[in-house]
Amino acid sequence: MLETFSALFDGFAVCFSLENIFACIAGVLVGTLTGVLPGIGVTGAMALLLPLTYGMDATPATILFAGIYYGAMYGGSTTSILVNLPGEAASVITCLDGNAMAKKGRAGAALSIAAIGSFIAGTIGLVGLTFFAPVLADAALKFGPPEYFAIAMLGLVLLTNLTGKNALKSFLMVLVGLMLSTIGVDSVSGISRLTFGIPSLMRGLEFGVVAMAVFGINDLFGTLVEPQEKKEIGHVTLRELYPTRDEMKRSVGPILRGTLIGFLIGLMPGPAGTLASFSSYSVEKKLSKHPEQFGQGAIEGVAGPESSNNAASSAAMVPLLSLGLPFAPPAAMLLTGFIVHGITPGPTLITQHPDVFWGLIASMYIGNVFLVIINLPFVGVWASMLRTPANILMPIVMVITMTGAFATNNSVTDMVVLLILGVFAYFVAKYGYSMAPLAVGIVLGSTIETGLTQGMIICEGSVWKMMTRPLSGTILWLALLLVAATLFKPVKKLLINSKDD
Amino acid sequence: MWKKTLAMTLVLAMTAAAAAGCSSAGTASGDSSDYPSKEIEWLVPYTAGGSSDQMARLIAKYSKQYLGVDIIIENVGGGGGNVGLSQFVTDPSASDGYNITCFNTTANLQPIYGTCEYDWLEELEPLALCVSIPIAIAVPKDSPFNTIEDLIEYAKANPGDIQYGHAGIGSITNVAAEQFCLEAGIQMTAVPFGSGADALTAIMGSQIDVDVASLSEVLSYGETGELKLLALCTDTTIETMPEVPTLVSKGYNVDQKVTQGIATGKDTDAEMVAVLDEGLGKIINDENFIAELKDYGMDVDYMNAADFSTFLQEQREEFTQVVTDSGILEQVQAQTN
Repeated sequence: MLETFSALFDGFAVCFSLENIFACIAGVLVGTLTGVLPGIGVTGAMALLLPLTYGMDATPATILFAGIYYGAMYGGSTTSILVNLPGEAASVITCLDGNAMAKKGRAGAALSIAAIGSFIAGTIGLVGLTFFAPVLADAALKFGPPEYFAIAMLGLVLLTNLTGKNALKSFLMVLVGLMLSTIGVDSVSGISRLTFGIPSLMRGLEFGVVAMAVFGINDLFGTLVEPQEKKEIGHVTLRELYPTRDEMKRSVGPILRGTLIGFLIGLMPGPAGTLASFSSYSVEKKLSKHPEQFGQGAIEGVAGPESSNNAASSAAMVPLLSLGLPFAPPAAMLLTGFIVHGITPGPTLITQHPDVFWGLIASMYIGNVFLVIINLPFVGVWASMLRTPANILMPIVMVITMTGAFATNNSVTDMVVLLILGVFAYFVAKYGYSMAPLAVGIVLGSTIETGLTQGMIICEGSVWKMMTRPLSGTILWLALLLVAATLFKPVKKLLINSKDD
Repeated sequence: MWKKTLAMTLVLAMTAAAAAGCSSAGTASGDSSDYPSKEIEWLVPYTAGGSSDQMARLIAKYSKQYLGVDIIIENVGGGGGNVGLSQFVTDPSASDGYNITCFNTTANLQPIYGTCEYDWLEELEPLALCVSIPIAIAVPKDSPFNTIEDLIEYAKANPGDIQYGHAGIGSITNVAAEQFCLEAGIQMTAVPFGSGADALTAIMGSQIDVDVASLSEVLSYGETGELKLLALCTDTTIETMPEVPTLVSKGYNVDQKVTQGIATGKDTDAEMVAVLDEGLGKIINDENFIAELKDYGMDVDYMNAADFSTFLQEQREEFTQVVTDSGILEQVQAQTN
């Protein structure tokens, strides 16, 4: 423990050189911007900037790169809250209550809580990374494909009725999401599915594009078609801009719980950040004394998820730094950034390149402080943007969304997908179907599928073996129990009613 | 009311403008006397940051020096390279001499399975081979297998008991593993992963018994002892770990590697092909280029256009043979039907 502290202090010493501080600021600024701009994903932004780091030393280059990664988790919530348009996949769920808060004139509070929660979660997550990385990494490796499948199934059970409106409608939307997730080349077998001969559909639907369509475009069509009440937001005083004492108090629990949830889920491969924010939302709703407020602008629904996705990005550094294994696409880009500078992350990183390792860790503490300093003053700027009349703001949002969709893969097909799904979402939403379950289906779809394929081979084709493997078994039985518990009430009711007849 | 109409019009107009701005306007210019006279576009059919992308960007860096013009990289990823290659061959300017793309191992495998619309070997004109990475057989550090013989012996006694991970059904790692099984007369159970990184994660956690992977993925773990490298599926050993035997030296004729080459449209003027062939050859053989590429963990394995073309033809025949004999082809086709 003491050695870790002294090494960390050495890291801070490395970090406080002009070059490294500059790299850190540049990284988190680009990250925030990446997060704010919908369609420009973290991975894409890092890939674009990779050539710029060629001329730099290893330490500033990795500091800059990592800054983009965790910085994006800060910016991602901005457009979710302001215009119901998720800036990053991990901020999709923030649309629900964040945007509802904005519509009530509490955009500033939502933005501030998102930034504060991100800061707390990011920093606590870093402490976990600093002191427990090797242990956590070994634990993460105990989870194999059968466990990924089990976790995803549990997620499906827990998250299906995320919005808690109509269970059957939610379930249907999850199914639609699962079906949409099968579009494209199956990553395991290389077979194209549901592409209708369109080459650019082979890469599958981009989650970011789908999220922009079903939340952003859907909302936009709603604004266009339905008569708008003229809202006078008027002058917002500084006091009103920031969270009230009550809002702060209500956010403490969600932030801490979100941190824990995010950090644990972040140790799992795949879309961990997105999954973490969904789980946190669901937990907060279940724990809340006022679950009916969720979806209407509950601050807990912003604080929890926005904290959890930052904790998840800290956790994703665990397998990367201690084993050299990238569990998520942005982590893979970070790995590339290391390799380009002749550094192989893994067990030898700490011993062979202590300056890079501890410099990077220290820079993340500093970066998180910078992020909150950068983001809080911006809250006022962003919030005042909402005073723009809808007939000017909405076309701008539309253009940004379309550009973002195109920029995702340099493909016009994504723009078409965006519009088609947007129209689809608008009409089904009119009939009371909510979009969050659809997002759950898409996020979990491929994990369930590949986990099952690989898991069944590893378990030699035996379902029983999967149900009795210590880890996957426990999780799967838990999921089954939950399903049974959920079905118990309606079935009992049905039985009693039939007796009465 | 008029405000709503205005908003609607604005949205539509801006959408149309955005859409129009995206359709590229490319026209062919076929004069070869002063070729190349403008920058060359390189469509990398993979997302930015991967090894092919790094290779392409490094070549682009040396382009001005040897080809006299810049190379501009465009990434069109997805579908294991199919999305980008489809876009490339259907582009009317693919053969105007100013458009090049990648030709990797997968591009020579996929047409055999019929999982892509075009046969890249027929649609593309090979220009050069730049990089090759051997396939390696790795096991966890606490594995009971210490040599490749141990593994073969166990597999002979317990057919199908050993589970090996590869980077996707029909991928080169799958093909190399199955070719090894055929040559050694053994059976292993294949566990398909979506990528080499996923398979690596599984072997690090001992979720599977064996990982058949590209050497670049497992080398550093072999060097630190986190994984045991039992053999290389090639005929030459590696500098840093000469003790790792090759399958060829053990008497198994398995010589498979991940290759990263460059190609252009099939109808490109022969003189232009010659210019590109020569220029790319000079870049790839530049000492600084070789050193920089090594920093990325890639070793130069150069072939000129003619040799690369022959290599691809022979590789295609060998692939067809192996995927048919091993049942991979049947497996892939069973899923398509």
